[in-house]
Amino acid sequence: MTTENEEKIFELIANGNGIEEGFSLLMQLYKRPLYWHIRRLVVCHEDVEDVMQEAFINIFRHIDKFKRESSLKTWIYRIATNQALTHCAKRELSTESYNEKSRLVELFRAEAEVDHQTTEALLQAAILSLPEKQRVTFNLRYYDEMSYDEIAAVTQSSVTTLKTNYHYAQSRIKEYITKKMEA
Amino acid sequence: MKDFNFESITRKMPYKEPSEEYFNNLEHNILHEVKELQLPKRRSAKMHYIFMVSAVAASLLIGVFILFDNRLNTPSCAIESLVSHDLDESIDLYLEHLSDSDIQALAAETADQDIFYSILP
Repeated sequence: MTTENEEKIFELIANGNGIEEGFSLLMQLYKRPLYWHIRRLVVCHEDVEDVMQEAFINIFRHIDKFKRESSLKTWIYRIATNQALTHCAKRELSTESYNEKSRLVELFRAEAEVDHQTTEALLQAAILSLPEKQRVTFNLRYYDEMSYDEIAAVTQSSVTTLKTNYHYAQSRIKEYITKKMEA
Repeated sequence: MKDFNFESITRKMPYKEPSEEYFNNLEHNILHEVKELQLPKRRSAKMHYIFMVSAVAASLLIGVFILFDNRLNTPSCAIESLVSHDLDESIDLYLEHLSDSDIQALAAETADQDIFYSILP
């Protein structure tokens, strides 16, 4: 389902002279949510800026070919997620299996400006220990409050797989935080 | 064991919130990049337009040239001019073999006297 703003963006972009205005509106709508989505995946603030630039430029390059088979929001999130994961792979930050000592957790401890024992900090460390697919699913569901159908459009996965991923992610996070709180 | 509940924690990220200025600068930089990307497209569109106008103008010129060339060399014109030339020659030949009295008789029957002007005695 498209929102009024998305319709306005499409109208402006369809009119050849309004492409920059349409893109500016798109940025106003998505710059903050995408910043945080990418930040949760790549952790480092400086890297977020590079990934954001690349993601938005890719969005701009391909927006005239967007077929509207999915919502603009999930399409934008898909580009941003792929860009962020590519960045993580290049920096060897990706994790395929549960790893409490992943480089992402180390990066987070260096970047976070709070006591590492607060629940929010423990939650982040727990999320960053998760395998990549569980991490992306959990973030989109928990922080971006997307439906499973929307997450399926972003990650190109089945809803069943996503529900399993989310379930495992929740269990691991609970286990991680409970263990840290007890220590 | 202390039970952990997701609902008990906020969704606030444990990072410093970037300022409004940061987001504005980010937007400005990306829009600048996007405009830079648009420039070659615009140049290419302009070149495409110039090329199309030149092609149309050249086609028109060629069309006009072919039209005039054809008119000058149409078979009907060529035949007309040949027929007219041969006819003149055969009339001259015919008149050369006529006696003065025959020419005068012929001229008397013809409305256009001028054609006999040079040969009438």
